[in-house]
Amino acid sequence: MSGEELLEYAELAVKLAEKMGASEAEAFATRVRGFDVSLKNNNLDQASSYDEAGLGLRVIVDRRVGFSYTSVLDKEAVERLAERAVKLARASRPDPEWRGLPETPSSYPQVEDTYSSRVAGIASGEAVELASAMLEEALSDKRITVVYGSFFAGAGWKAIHNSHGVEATSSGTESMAWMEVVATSGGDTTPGCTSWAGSRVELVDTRAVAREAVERALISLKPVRLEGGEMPVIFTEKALFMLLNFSLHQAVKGDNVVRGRSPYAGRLGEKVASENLTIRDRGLMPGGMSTDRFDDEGVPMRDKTLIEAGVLKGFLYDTYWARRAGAEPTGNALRGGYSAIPVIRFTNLVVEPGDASRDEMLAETRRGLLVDDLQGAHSTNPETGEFSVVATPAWLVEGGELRPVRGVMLAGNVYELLKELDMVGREVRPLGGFYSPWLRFSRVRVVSK
Amino acid sequence: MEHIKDLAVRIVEEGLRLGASFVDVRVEDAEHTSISLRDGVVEAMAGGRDTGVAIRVLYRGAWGFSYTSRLTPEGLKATLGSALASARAASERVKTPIRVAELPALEDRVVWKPKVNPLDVDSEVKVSDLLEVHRLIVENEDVKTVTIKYADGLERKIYASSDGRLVEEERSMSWAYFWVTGRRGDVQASAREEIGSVEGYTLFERWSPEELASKLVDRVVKQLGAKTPRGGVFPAVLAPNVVGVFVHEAFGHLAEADLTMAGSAVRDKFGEKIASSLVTIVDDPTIPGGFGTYRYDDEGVEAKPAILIEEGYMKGVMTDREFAAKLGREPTGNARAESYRVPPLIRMRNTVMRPGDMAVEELFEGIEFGYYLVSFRGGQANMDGTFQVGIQEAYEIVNGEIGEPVRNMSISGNTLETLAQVDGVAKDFQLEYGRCGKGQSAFVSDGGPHIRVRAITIGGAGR
Repeated sequence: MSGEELLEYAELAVKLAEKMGASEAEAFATRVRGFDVSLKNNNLDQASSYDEAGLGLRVIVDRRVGFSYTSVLDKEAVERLAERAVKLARASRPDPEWRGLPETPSSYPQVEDTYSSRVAGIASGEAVELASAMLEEALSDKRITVVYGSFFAGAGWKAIHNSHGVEATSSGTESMAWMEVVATSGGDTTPGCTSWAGSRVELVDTRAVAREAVERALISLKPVRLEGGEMPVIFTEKALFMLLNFSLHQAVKGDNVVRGRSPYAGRLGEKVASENLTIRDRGLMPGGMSTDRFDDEGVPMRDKTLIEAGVLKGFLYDTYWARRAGAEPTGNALRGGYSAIPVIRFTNLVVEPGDASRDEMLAETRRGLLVDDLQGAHSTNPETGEFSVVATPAWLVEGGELRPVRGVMLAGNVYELLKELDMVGREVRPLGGFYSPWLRFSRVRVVSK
Repeated sequence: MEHIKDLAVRIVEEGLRLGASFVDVRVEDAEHTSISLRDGVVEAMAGGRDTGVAIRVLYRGAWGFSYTSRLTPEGLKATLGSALASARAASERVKTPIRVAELPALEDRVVWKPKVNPLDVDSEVKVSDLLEVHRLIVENEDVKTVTIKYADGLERKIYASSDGRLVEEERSMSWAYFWVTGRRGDVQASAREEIGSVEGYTLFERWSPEELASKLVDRVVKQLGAKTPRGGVFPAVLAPNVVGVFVHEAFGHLAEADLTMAGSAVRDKFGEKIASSLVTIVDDPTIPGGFGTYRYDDEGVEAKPAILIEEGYMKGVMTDREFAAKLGREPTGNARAESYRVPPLIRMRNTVMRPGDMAVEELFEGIEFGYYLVSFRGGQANMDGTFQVGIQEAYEIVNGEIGEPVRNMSISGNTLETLAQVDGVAKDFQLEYGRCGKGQSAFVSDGGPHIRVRAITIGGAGR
């Protein structure tokens, strides 16, 4: 099913909902097709193929919002869907703040490097080869056990249409691979160590993913004891993502800002972080994992600055919360699929790189920690930024050398920590839609048993 | 459903004819409602019916999987073809041929009849009930925001496999989640609560709106006036809610056979003493009313209690058909799939610590200074057995008495070391309701009695 066919069903759904009494309606249809090959316990686990299309319908009746979806796309199913959505809306309560679905934009931007026929046309055998190569590469070291892994490649199409004439289609491809391994040697087993890679237009280098996970596991063997205290801590992109995902990422969402749940509410223009920190949400970044022409309610995607040299510059909005805030929607209404209503999420969240190489960062840290993942980050309090997490895997950095440490906790306040950013790495790697170099914070409270 | 049942059986036969050594077909038909309220405004009333079929084949020792929502003979045949093509490709590269535990043929139909079918309850009633909880919460002036999520559903499943299993099961579930934030001056705090039922729309009979609201408000208000904890190693009394998340997150995942065999901290511990003799931990799908209570798993296997630790000794792990074959054990019925869109994984059900014989008050006796951990905010563990659990409600224990509230604390450490430090298990018991994420989401229960741990690492967030 092409984008055009999806759009036809979207138009039908909106028309039917209006006929049944909806004052506004919006249909979002997608098709996803791809191969997924998983690894488990040192073995090729499973090869899956899928090709699914569906449509989600949001309808408004007297400021009441109803939503339903169908995984079957034919006339009859769409008719039943429209009935159900309208019925659900009627059973809801009016939202006095409802100010309408998005209006038609004057134009949609063009995006680069989001579709490749090479990725879209991958065959199952090729997907299996790439997953298998990742497994073989990891197992070439006898100390390694592959816990889980996965290679995925596929294509997606989406279409959006609403009562105000919003109408658009797009298509894209992506390929990604990740792996979790442990290393065992002399009775010592490391914590799980992971690696991830993704691309919109190329089949990812699965062997490189394996090599990185393996390297992290091997340097996690034979831990040393760590004396706790305050010290500089270098966060890899993964650890940083975990740290920010339950704090900063929440604080810049427009709904949290309007509801007073964000510590950044009312503070635009204020300095909230170290001047070394610049963060942008780049919906149009060429080849970005989340790059698209429009978001999942049909608002054009765009690039915007959230924090520039430590100064708070902007927030992320969908149409509803933008209107409540008296701001413009930023193209950040995204969905988990056709069966979900849109929520505010970052697109490509980019932390501006600096000029320190990874080696320089390690060499210039006399005594500190390098942390690659955080455990328990979701227990961070997003409103206050208070956190207390286990850093694992983590290494003591001393004299340019890395020695693994275990059972180390980091505690503090994320929003305070952002003011202590004193070194920004140069190399940037994507992790999903998160693009960040390594960052070093000058003082973090480290608790060790 | 009779028609699709026959079709499922025919697809299984067709898969065997085309060369698969094992085939299973899962048919799912789920109807559900979800409601989200932010500060008393209904964001959207959502609902739908999701019907589809998952087909899995084992071909020359390799798994292939595909699914469809086209429930026609042609749709299912095409999906079988995709699964087989994937399995064929995988069979060229599989390292160790996969085997599954085959079981005696069986036909059964199980219907868990809800007391009040959630589908029969008007959506307006659900909204009114949720708004009532909201209204009671915001009566407190320290409360700033209230987020409420509600979901219910009725699920019908058919499982057909090439070893002659043909089982049907129908269950309902209702679930609600509350997140309240409060502020007084510069101090902010938040509290969460999650409730659930498999008896249908009985949530607010079991947890009255008044009780829920006062619990949440109390939690927020106490934190607003609370002190931050001293970091370090202290004795602690854990309430059932925290014991539940500990047995699930810190221990349970280590005993999921896929993770155990990949090198989790309990891999080489079968038969060994790994915990205090007071500790018995079971993943039990037979506990009445649990989120993880069912008769057959998503591989058509009878769900049986998996005794993981018995009086301190490591007894078993949770398995699916594949790991049962690998380990030469009986499958425990732990294979669960989030939906027909994904193959099942080894997942927990109701993971609990069994009660002991002490009175709850006895646990506090003799603690000069320690912490009473009442309710958690989230927890996570690593394969190597390190864990972290955030605590949203905690108190100091001073000279055996419950003292002042403490906010923003967490516990961490090594799971097995912590289980060895358990020196008191009370005779009370409580079951909790929640969700677990392991790539896929699953509704699970966990719980246990109050317990005392001689020494646990307390970490404090913030300043």
